[in-house]
Amino acid sequence: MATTVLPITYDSTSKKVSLEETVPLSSSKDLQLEISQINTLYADFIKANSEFPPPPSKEAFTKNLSMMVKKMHESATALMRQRQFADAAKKFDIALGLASARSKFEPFQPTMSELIICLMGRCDAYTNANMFVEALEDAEVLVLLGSQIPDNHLRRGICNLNLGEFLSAKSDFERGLAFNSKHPILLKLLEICLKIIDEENGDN
Amino acid sequence: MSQSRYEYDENSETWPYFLLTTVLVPLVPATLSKLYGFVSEATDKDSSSSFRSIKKWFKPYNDKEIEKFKASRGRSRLFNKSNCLVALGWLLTAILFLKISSITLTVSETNFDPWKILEISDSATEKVIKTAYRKLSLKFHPDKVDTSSMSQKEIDAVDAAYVLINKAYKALTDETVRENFLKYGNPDGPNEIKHGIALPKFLIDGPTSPFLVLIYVLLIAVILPLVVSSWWNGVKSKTKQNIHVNTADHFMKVMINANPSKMILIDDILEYVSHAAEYVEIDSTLSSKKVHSLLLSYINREPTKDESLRLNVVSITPRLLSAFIEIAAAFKNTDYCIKLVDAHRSIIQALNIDKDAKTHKFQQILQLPGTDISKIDTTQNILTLGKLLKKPTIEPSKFLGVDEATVKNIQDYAKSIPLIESYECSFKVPGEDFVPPNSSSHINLKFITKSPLHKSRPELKDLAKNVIESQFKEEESLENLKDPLKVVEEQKDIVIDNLPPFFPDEDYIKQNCGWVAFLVAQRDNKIVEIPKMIKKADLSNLKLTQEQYIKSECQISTFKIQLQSPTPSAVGEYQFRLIIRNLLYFGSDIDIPLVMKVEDKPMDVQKDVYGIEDPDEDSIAGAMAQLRGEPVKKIAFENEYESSGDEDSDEEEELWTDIDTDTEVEEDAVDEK
Repeated sequence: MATTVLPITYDSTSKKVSLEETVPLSSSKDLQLEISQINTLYADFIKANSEFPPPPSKEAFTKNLSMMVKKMHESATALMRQRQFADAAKKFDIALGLASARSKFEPFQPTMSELIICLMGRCDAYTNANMFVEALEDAEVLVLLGSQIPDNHLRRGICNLNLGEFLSAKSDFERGLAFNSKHPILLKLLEICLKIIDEENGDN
Repeated sequence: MSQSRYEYDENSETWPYFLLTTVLVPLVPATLSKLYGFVSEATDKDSSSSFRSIKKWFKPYNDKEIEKFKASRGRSRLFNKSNCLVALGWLLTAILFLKISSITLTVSETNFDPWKILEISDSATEKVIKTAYRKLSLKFHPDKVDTSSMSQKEIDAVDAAYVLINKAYKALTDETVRENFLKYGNPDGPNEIKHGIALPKFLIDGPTSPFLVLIYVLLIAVILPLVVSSWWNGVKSKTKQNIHVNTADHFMKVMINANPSKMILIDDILEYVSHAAEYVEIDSTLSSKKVHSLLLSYINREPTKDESLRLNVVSITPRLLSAFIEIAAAFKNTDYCIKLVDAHRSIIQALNIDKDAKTHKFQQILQLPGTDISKIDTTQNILTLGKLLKKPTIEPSKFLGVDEATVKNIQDYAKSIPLIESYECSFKVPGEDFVPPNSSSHINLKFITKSPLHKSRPELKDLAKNVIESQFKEEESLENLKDPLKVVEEQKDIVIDNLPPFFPDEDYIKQNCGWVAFLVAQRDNKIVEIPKMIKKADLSNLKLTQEQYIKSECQISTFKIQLQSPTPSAVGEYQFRLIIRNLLYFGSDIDIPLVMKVEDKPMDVQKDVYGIEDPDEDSIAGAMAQLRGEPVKKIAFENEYESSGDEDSDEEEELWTDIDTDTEVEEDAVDEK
């Protein structure tokens, strides 16, 4: 096996790996991503201050952070009730930032749910604020994380419907209905979607 | 005759036959297959008015180059290597025939023909034989021939001729010699088996023999291994989808590194495909960057300096994309597959749908020849072919920004784009009306094709009776049950009316102008089955008027996918989605949600089919049936005990009294005591 020498250097004071300056940024996107991942992991490892990262268990995550996320989520939902969606989206954004700021060596299974809840909130806030492109991005992630939750497909379907992707919206609603065939909102929206498709085809 | 053990072809009698056979064995099948190809191509062309060029009213900006490309394709098809070889082969055959017809067989031991030797017909009488013999023996008798001026060789020849004449005469008159001749073909009786070489002697024994040896050595030690190895390399370097292994390897790497959170664009796909080894085969100086820029400029419809190279690059790209689709499907990646199909039709239509939001929005309109994003009134909400043809919000000419005649042409082109509408789509297990667990099933899709001009779809009940009987419901014959896909194969090939004007390779379009179907699990949005092309369908619906379309003249087509894996073993409902995408046109796609309902119905015990009653409870058959849990005929116990129980015991007593008298006596005695 031929070994390839990567154009990287290690700085022992900042304890970070970095890409050599001679390398053009455009040709090393993947490498850049991997380097930043290594740096994050290593920084977390130093912070852990032990020879091995703590073994993952259900309890071994920072509870304080969870409290903060929860509080932020609550205040964001309060804003949602006051129909200040753009502000709510910002709050959800902060909550998400907190949730993803955990040490990378912590088990993510127990904290995954709070991430999903925050993401759902942000997606809904964006949708209500008519920021459908941002909402669609969140909905895509939600569909990947919880593909069996009909509401996630509903979220993506609404975004696609509003972005003019009627065929995708239709299949989103249908996919949601596959997990709960009696979901009233999904049924209603599918009907609307079919009507719009017909209208777009000049069929009605 | 000769000193060596073999006979040589001194008189050039055998080798032409030998060579003729060697030439004809590969030549005849090759010619037949060529002829078959030409004939079927010719009938294809005759039978339909389809695959018309629209060059009469629309010429793409690079029309000249495209025509040049097509012409060179056509020429190379007629004068390619294999055709030349076949022609050469027939030329050689003709020469050999000439040669063979000019060969006069000289008589020798091996082909003894007494009639020929005596120069008489084989029906000659004894008298004629005798006179002929006398005449010839006088002529060739060693004493009569003047040998003084002859060489030794000539003298020998005369001697041999005389001996032959004698032999021939004897063969026809003498009984034993005649028998020998009839039995062994030789008047001397059986002679030893001889092996011959279909080469003249001078080639082997003469001074040329080292050359012959050299030729043999070359043939066996050099040429044969070379041919085999080059053939094997050819086989090895191509995958099953007929792409280069390195290309397949690259596609595989792309799929392994696929990032699910990254949205891919047409541009990304073109970048991936530009690394294919096939492009280097076109021009060894082509770098992947250059290929990428060529492809990108092509779908952006920008003129380039090196148009013929670009067309060469473009013409093989869809084939690579098709292979890429198969690889992406093997990785179960739905998003990539769908984007690859998009890239495929972007190449065919030379339209970059991801160029900007407007192009993306109006992709269905912009694929029509003669349209231009700069001329289109983008404030109008006419996004689909259907809307343009049926219910345009403004005059089409105003919307498209072209004159009336062109609008008419564009509309005609749009009308001929086939759309697909599903009637019924379900999982079927041959011979069952439900889906049992662990069974081999297929997807059965009944659909109609329609023009974008047609409104809605005809009700099932409005369709013609024979259509419903034969096309919608399939006949449950043994053959259909055995091979459910036969119905699909028996349909007509898909043919489209108009060729997309930008793509240079017509043959590719003719073979791929259908849809591709992906089966996706709703649970995780992953492809669960190898994608399959819809290549056969009845497109006659496209020619119908709206009246005819809605009232019963529609034809139904069938498409089936045989599932590779058996149905799940657990009973329940499984959710799928059938994604159908057109490989050429935008806006001819459908998604069909599908439920596989796996049921485990117990086998119906067919009680009354043969009129067989349940077995009696006390019979062996009854006992077996009870073990199996099947019903049995109850027997009225009490009655039997009451009526016949006593009789039985009486009989028993009688039997016992005969045999065991002693014990009874003893018992009696005991009792008495």
